[in-house]
Amino acid sequence: MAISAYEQGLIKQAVLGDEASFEALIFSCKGKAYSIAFRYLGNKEDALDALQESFIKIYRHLGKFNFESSFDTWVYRIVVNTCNDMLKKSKKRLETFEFSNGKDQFTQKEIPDSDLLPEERLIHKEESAHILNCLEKIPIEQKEILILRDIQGFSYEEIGGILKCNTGTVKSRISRARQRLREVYVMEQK
Amino acid sequence: MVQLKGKKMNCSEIRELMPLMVDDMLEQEQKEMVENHLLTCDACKQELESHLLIAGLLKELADVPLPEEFEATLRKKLQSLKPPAKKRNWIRYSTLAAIFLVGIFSIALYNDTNTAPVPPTEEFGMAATTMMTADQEAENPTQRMLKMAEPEVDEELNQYLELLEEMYKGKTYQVIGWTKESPQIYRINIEVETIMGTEAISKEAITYKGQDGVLCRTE
Repeated sequence: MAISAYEQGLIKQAVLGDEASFEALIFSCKGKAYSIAFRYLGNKEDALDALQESFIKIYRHLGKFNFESSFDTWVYRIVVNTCNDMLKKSKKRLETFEFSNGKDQFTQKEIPDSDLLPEERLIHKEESAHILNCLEKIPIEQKEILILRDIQGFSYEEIGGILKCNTGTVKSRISRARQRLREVYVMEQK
Repeated sequence: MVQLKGKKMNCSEIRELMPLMVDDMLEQEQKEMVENHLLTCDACKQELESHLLIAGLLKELADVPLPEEFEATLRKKLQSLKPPAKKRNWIRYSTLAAIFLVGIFSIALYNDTNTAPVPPTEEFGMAATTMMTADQEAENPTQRMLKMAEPEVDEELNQYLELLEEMYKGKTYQVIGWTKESPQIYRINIEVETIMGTEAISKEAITYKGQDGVLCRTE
């Protein structure tokens, strides 16, 4: 994807340490980046932490951006990777905690009402809570691809760019993830 | 059972294709196969409806407003990333200033006491009071003054000092002095402070050897 001369100029300025150029650069993608992190991690605090960590990484390593993908795609890739790292760390902490408490298996997290946005609590409260619970019960790789495709609406090509895989792989992963989510959705309704 | 271009497909095969019906990502041939099957199979039709329902519910989760406070927090964080560079410069300049001051002091001391010439040495750093022999000084005092006033920046040494700074980030340490054994080998002496218990501080003297861009601790 071509990068505009304006965007290239902002990148060059930001590499030199100009914060205003950096802020202009992330202006168009920060909302979606937060939305990805929120759906990935399930709460505002962790999502804000992940977003801040991602943007600091991007600011520090802006010189390494190779212009092979669009800037936004690069940003979303870093956000997804940061969320994955945070999930791994928190899972490790949870496992250590449960081990020390004598539990022998990882228990699935139920979505409390507080993890829903205000509008989700008012409209479609039950459906939203139900589908979020179902998302928590499928493997993270499947949840990840559904966040990108069905929640955020990225195209198959964009997802390929974010996850660094070809469109064929994206297709088969989306297909398996939708099948699995449907199974869980139906099973949980019974 | 569905038959298209000589291929028969059963319900489970159709259901494998179904998830991609949601966003119309099937090949034309596959799409027709599924559509024809749905004309006669209510169970598969229901399954497709559930796929569409789930996709609709997921789509509604898209908009999550970014909290307003984020921008200010990020700006503050980005600004806080700058000091390390300043700190590095400060250490470099303060080191050079220390060499300069010691040089000036040693000249003054030499002029006052007019002592015998001191043998040449390769000592540098805080102990670098004899960068030139007295004979050389006597030959050209003005040149000597200039040399003392404008110490050359040793890029390789600075590189080792920066490595040390990174290694001891967040710890308290002091560069005591350094020597240049040969054009490629530097020995840097530092003192590291460690807090023991509530108030006691232990100091450990460590020597590092810098060679070919690599810094190693020596016994």
